[in-house]
Amino acid sequence: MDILKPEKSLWIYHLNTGSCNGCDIEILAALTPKYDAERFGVKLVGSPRHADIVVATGPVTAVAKESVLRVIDQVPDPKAIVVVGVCGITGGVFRGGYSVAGPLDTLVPVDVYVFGCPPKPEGIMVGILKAAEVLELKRKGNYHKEVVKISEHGETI
Amino acid sequence: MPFGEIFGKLVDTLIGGPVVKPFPKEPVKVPPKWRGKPQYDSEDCTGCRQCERVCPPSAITIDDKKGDFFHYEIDYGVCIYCWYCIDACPTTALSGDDKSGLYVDTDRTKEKLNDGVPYVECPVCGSKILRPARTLVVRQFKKYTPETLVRASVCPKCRREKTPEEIEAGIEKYIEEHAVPRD
Repeated sequence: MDILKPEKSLWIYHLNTGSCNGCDIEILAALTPKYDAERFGVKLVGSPRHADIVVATGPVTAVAKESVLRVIDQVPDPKAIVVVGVCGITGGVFRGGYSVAGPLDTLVPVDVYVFGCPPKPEGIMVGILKAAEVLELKRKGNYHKEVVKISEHGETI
Repeated sequence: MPFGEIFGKLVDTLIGGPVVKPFPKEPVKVPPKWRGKPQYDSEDCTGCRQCERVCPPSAITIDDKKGDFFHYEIDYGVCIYCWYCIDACPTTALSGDDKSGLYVDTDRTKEKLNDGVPYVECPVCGSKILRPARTLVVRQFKKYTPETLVRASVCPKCRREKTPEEIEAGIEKYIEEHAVPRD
């Protein structure tokens, strides 16, 4: 079993688009010594201009929509977007609410979906590793959704 | 922190090794009572729609108007894994996955469950009713075979209006016509 070793360190930007903070706590748990996503070179950065991967949570509220689009525009290409939690995927329990401006993948192209409410920290790590492979494929210029080879449990097939 | 405590921690670290979980080299271990994806078994479904009623984010959608099929769909992109549906299920049609915990995909549309219950003919009058659930057939006849399934699928109207002799004759005729294997 091979584990993907990305060529460059992955700098991730954590973007909260109106989440309940459950998924945000799990993202931070994935960076703590117990799960330790920093083994793969993952580093949380404070500015979207430094980031390779955007880790987004929440259903994109109407107030947050403009800021979310502006932040994602600031991330340099090639970038990968990971959505964590069912709120970001479809809206979850907030689906159809008056203050929800649609799930994130109706606004920007999303590469990896991490299911759960909230997902396990291991799931978020696998999501980031998948995004790393997407990023490398995008750098080489031959990215399709079917090419991603990392399995559901973080191994390359 | 006193010196003895520091020394104790050092010994613990030397003997016990690092605290980092060896994921992804080892598969993920989920805690007891872990709530994963709800799984659906259409043979046990009675079509009572209690799961649809209790689901907080309306992840379960049921369509019984579309043709000769009771369509049942769970969207795992909406499901919050609360297992209310499993608690509400009067039979054992819904069960939970308590072994695996990682659901990650690059394609959202794959994470859906599409299933359903077919409609069967009443052997006496020929009207369409939902296929009886396995649990209810076993409760009535003590076994689940093609013959007991036919005997259980007599529609409520026939049960109410016809005599036991008429129903028995209708079932015997249906079994002979459709060559249902007998017990």
